[in-house]
Amino acid sequence: MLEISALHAGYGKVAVLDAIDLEVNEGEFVAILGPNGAGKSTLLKTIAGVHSPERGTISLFGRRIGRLGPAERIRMGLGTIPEARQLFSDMSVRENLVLGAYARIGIRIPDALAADLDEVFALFPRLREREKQIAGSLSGGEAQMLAIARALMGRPRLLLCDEPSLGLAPMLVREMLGALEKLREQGITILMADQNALAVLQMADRGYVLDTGRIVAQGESKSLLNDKRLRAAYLGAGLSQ
Amino acid sequence: MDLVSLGQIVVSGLANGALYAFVGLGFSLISRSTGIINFAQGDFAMLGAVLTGFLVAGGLPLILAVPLAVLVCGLVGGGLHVLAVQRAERANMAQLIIMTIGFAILIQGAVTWGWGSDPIAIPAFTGSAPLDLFGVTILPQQLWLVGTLALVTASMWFFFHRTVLGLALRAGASNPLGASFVGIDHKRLGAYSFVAGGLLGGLGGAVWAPIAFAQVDIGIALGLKGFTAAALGGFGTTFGPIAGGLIFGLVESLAAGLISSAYTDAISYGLLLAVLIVRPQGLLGKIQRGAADDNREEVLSAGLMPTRLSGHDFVRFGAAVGVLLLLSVILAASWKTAALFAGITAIVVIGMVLLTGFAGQISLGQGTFMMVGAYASGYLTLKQGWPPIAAIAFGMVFAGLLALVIGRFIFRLRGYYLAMASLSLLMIFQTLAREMHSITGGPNGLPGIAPLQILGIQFFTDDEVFLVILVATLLCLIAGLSITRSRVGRALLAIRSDELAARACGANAVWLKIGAFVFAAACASLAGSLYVHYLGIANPLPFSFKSSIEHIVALTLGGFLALYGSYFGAAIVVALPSVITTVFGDADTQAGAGLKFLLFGLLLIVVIIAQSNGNARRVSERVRGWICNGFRLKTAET
Amino acid sequence: MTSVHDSERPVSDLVLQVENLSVQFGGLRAVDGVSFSVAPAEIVGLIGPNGAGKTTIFNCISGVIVPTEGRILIQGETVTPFTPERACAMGALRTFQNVRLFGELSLRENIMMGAYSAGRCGMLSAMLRLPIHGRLERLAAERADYWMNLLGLADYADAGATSLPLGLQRVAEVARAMAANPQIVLLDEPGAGLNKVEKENLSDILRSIAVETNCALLVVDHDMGLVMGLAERLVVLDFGKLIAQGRPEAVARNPDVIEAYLGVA
Ligand SMILES: Nc1ncnc2c1ncn2[C@@H]1O[C@H](COP(=O)(O)OP(=O)(O)OP(=O)(O)O)[C@@H](O)[C@H]1O
Ligand SMILES: Nc1ncnc2c1ncn2[C@@H]1O[C@H](COP(=O)(O)OP(=O)(O)OP(=O)(O)O)[C@@H](O)[C@H]1O
Ligand SMILES: [Mg+2]
Ligand SMILES: [Mg+2]
Repeated sequence: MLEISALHAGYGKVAVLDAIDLEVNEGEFVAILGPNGAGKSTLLKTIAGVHSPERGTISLFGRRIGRLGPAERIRMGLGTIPEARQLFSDMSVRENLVLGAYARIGIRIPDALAADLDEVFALFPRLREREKQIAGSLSGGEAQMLAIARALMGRPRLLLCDEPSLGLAPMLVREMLGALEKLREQGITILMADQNALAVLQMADRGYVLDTGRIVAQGESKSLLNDKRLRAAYLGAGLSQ
Repeated sequence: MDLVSLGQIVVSGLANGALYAFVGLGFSLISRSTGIINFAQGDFAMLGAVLTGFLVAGGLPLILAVPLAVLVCGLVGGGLHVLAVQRAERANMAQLIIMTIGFAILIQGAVTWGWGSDPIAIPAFTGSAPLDLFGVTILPQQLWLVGTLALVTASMWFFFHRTVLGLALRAGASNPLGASFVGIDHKRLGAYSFVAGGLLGGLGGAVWAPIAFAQVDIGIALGLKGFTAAALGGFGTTFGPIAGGLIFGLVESLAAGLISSAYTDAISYGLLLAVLIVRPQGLLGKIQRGAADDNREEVLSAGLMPTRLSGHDFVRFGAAVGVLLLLSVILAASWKTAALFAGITAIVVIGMVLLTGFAGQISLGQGTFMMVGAYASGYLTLKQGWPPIAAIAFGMVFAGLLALVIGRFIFRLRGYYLAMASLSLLMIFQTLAREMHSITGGPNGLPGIAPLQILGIQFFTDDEVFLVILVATLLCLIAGLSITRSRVGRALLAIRSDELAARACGANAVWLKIGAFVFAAACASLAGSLYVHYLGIANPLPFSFKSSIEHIVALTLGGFLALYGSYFGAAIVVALPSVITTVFGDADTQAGAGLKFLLFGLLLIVVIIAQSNGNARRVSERVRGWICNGFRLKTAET
Repeated sequence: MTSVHDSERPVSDLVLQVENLSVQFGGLRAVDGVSFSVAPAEIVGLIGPNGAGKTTIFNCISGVIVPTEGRILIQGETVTPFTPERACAMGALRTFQNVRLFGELSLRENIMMGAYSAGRCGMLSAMLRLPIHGRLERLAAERADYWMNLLGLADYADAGATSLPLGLQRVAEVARAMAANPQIVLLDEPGAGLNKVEKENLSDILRSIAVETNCALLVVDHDMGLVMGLAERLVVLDFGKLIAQGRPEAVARNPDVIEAYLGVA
C-alpha cells in the first residue's frame, strides 16, 4: 500500500535521507529502527507530506503522492502520531481530538463524532477526565496519549507512529502497544519508529534498520531479532523486558 | 450639564465606539486565526468607506456599492496574505506584524494615489432624519452600525466556537506544523482569515461612512483606535473588542464633552495605559497558563550569533568609522543635511536593535522618548539656562526612568504588550506637548533653541553638526556592541529563544528586557535632543506616530539584529522620499504623495519577504557575500 | 569565585527538603501533601504513573509555579519568592522534559549561560566593561571548558547546540546545569528519546558527576532500568500523593508500587 523508492531528503544543505527504498503492505506492522539522528522522523515527515523530499517517489494505494499536500494524503487514509506531539497547546483536549477528525468531517461537528470520542476515551480514560483542560498543561505522558488519540480520531488506514511510547509509564506503554495490536487486527496498517526497539520488533512483522540516512538492514522481525551484529549495534545487547 | 446633552454625548460615544469595536473585532479575528496583529485593519475600514463613496459618486446605487466595496476589501485582504504573508515563509511574528504596517502604508498610498485625500460624502442607508428619544437625537445610520456590529459579533462567536473551521483556524495559529499533521491547510485558512478581516473592516467602514465622511486620513486613526479597542478588551476574544471599543468611544466622548476636548486623547489613551499596567491581557482577556514546558515560541533563527567581541568586530568597527569619515568629507552640502537626519534616525534605531532584535519587544512609540529629549533640551536650555550637555543628560536619564517604570509593569507578562503601551504613551505625550503651553509652548513649540555647545565650542554649520552626530552615533554603536557582545547580549538571545530555560539559568528576563528598553529610550532621547539643537525648535509634529513608523521601517530595512544595519535603514528612510521625488516627479500633488507612500509600503513588504523567504534569502546572502568580501565590511549580521 | 569548584554556600545536612507540598489546579490536586528530602551527593529517583505530579513538583522546586501549600528548603533555607531566578541562585538547577537549549548560541555559549548566576553584572556593567564583566566571562568560559572536557563535549564546542544529536543535547543540558555549580540538579526524563547505548552513557555521566562533585541529583524517568541503576533511593508518587519511598529493590517489590506504576510484567 505504501511504496517508496530512491527517496532523498534533507534540510538545506544537510542531506539526511539517502536513497531510501521501503515498502509496506496492507495490514502489516512495520518497524523502523535506528540510532538518534538516523533520519527516522524525517522519513515519516516526508511520507506525511509535511517535509518535501529532494528526489524519489512515494506512492500510496498505488497512486503517486509526491505532489500532494498533507491534507490530501490524510484524506486518502494516512494518519500520523508526530514527533514531539505537535498538539494545539492553547486548545482543550476535546478540541484537539475533534481536530484529529478534521479531514473527514465538514463544517459542523457531526453528532456521530461522539462515538469516536468515546472510543479513544475508552483507550485512554485519563483523557476523558481532562476533556476540558488546555492541552499545553497536560503532563508529558498525558500529552503523548492525546497525540495518539488525535491520530486515531482521523480513522487512518495507514498509521505513522513516531516514538509513540515517549514519556509513557511502563504500564501504559504495554497498553498502548496492545491497542495498536488491536488496530492491526482491524486491518489498519502501521509504520512505527521507536527507540523501544525490542518491544516493537517483537510485535512487528518486518523491520528496517536506518543509520545515517541509509537502510542498513531489513527483513522479518524474527531474523532481525536473531541477528547478533544488529543486536549489538542497534538494539542494545542484553536488554531486559 | 443637563441630562439630554449627557445622553447625546453617550449616544455619539457609543456610536463611535461601535466603529472602533468593528475594527477591533477585525484585529481579534486575524490575531486569533494567524497570531498576527494586523495593523492594516483600520485601513480596510477606510478602504471600505472610500470605495463606497467612490462607487456612489460614480452613480452606483448604495445597495450595490456597499457589497461591492466590502467585497473588494475582502479580496485585498486575501491578496495581501497570498502575495506577501505567505511569501515570508520563515518570518517571525515581529516581522509579520511589521509587515502589516507595510500593508497599512500601501493601502493609504494606493487610495491617495487613486482617489486623492479629499473627503467624500455618502448618503445614509435609510434617510437622515434623526430619531428622537427623550430629546436625544439618534441617527438611523447609527442604528445600522450597531445592528450590523451585533450581527457580525454573533456570527463570529458562533464561527469560532461552534464550527470546525473556526477550530481549525485557531489550531493553525496555535501550531502550524501540528495543523498540517491533521490535514489543516493553515496557509489557505490564513488567507481566508485575511479575507474575513478585509470583509469585516470594509463592512464597518461602509456602514459608518454616511455618519461622517470617507477620507483616507481616517485610516491611521481608525487603526489606532480599533487596536486600542482590542487591547483594552483583550485580543483573541470575541466580546473583548466590543467592550473595549464601546468603553473607549464612551470615555473619549465623555472626556471631550465634560472635561476638555483638548485632552481627549490623553484621557482615553491614559485609560488604555492604566488597563495595560493593571491587566496587560485586557479586560476580558485570559492569560494562558499552560505547563511551562510547551509554550515556547519557535525561533527559526538564522544561525549562531556572536556574543563575544572578536577581531572581526574591531575590523568592522574601524571600517565603519572610515566609511563615515570619508562620507563627511565627500558628501555634498545638500546631502549632508539628509545624512545628518539619517544619523539622528540611526541613533534611535540602534536602541531599537537591542529592544526589538535582542529583547524581542516591539515599540510603536520611540517618538515619546525623542520628545522627552527634545523638550528637556528645549525647556532646560531656554527657560532654565542649563548648558546643552546637562540638558541632554537630563533627558536621557528621564527617558530611561520612564522606560524603567513602564517596563516594570509591562514586561511582567510575555507578549506584545509593549506595542500597545508605547503607543498609548506616545498619544499621551503628544497631547501633553500640544496642551501644556507653559512648558512646551503648545503646537508652536519652543523656538530659539541654541545650537549645541560643548566645552565652549559651538556646533552651528551643517558640517559641524554632522561631526557631532557622527560621534554620537558611534558612541551609541559602541555601547550597543559592548552590550550585545557580552554575557548580557547572550542572555538576551537566550531569553528570546527560550525564556524559561534562560531564567532557570539565573537570567532575570524582566530586568534584562527593562535594560534593553531603557537603553533604547536613552538613545531616542539623545536623538531628540540632537534634533532640536540642530533645528532650533522643539514641537510635537516631528515625533508623531508617523515618525515612530519610520523608525520601525528603518529597523526592518537594516535588519533586526544588525547594529550596523541601522545606518543603512536610516539612510534609506531619510533618502527615499527625495529619491522618489527625483524619479517620479513632484511629490507635492496628492497623487505624488500617494505614490510615495505606496512605494514606501511596498519596499517594507518586499524587504521582509526578502529577509524571510528561503529563495530570496539565498540570493541576498550571495550578493551580500560579494559586497562584504569586496569591502571587508559586513553590513548586517542577521 | 574563581575556581571551578569551590562554593561559598553553607553546607546543611540536607540539600533539599520538600515539606507538605500541595499544588491545586482548579478542581485538581496535582500534588497532595508530599514531603521528602535529598541529602548532598545523593541520587534520588522520583517515579510514578503519568500525571502523578512529578513535573509539577519539579516546577515548584525550580520556581516555575507557586505551590498552593507547603514549603521547599534548599540547604536549609526556605525558597521564596518562587521564581526560576531565585531557585537558580539558591543552587537548584534543572533540565527539561523536552530538551531546551538555546538555538542561536553555540554549545560553549550555552554552557556559559549556565554560569550566568555566578555573579551579578547587569547591562550597565557590561556596557562599560567593568572588571566584574571580564571576571565573570572568564569564569564562565573556564567552567564551560571544564564541563565540556569532563562530559566529552569538547569536540562540539563551536557547533550550534540544537544541531547536535539528541543524546548529546541531553548531555549538554546537564553540562549547562552543572556550570552553575549547583547543589542539586533536577533531571526530568533525561532518558526519553535516547537509545539503550546513549542511556548507558548518560547514566555513567550522571554517576560520575555525583562522585566528582557534591551535587545531588533528583531524577524523573519512566525507564525503570535507568532509574534503578542510577538511584540510591526512590520516591514514588501516585495521584499527587507519596505512596512509597526507600531503597530501589525494596520499592520495586512494594505491592502498592507494582499496582500503581510498574504493573505485572
Ligand atoms: N529542522 C531541521 N533542520 C536541520 N536539520 C535537521 C532538522 N531536523 C532534523 N535535522 C537533522 O537531520 C538528521 C535526522 O533527524 P531525524 O529527526 O530524522 O532523526 P531521527 O532518526 O528521528 O532521530 P531521533 O531518534 O533523535 O528522533 C539529524 O542529524 C538532525 O540533526
Ligand atoms: N495548569 C494546569 N491546569 C490543570 N491541570 C494541570 C495543569 N498543569 C498540570 N496539570 C495536571 O496535573 C497533573 C500532574 O502533572 P505532571 O506534569 O506533574 O505529571 P507527571 O508526573 O510529570 O506526569 P508525566 O510522567 O506524564 O510527565 C496532570 O494530570 C496534569 O494534567
Ligand atoms: Mg525522531
Ligand atoms: Mg512529567
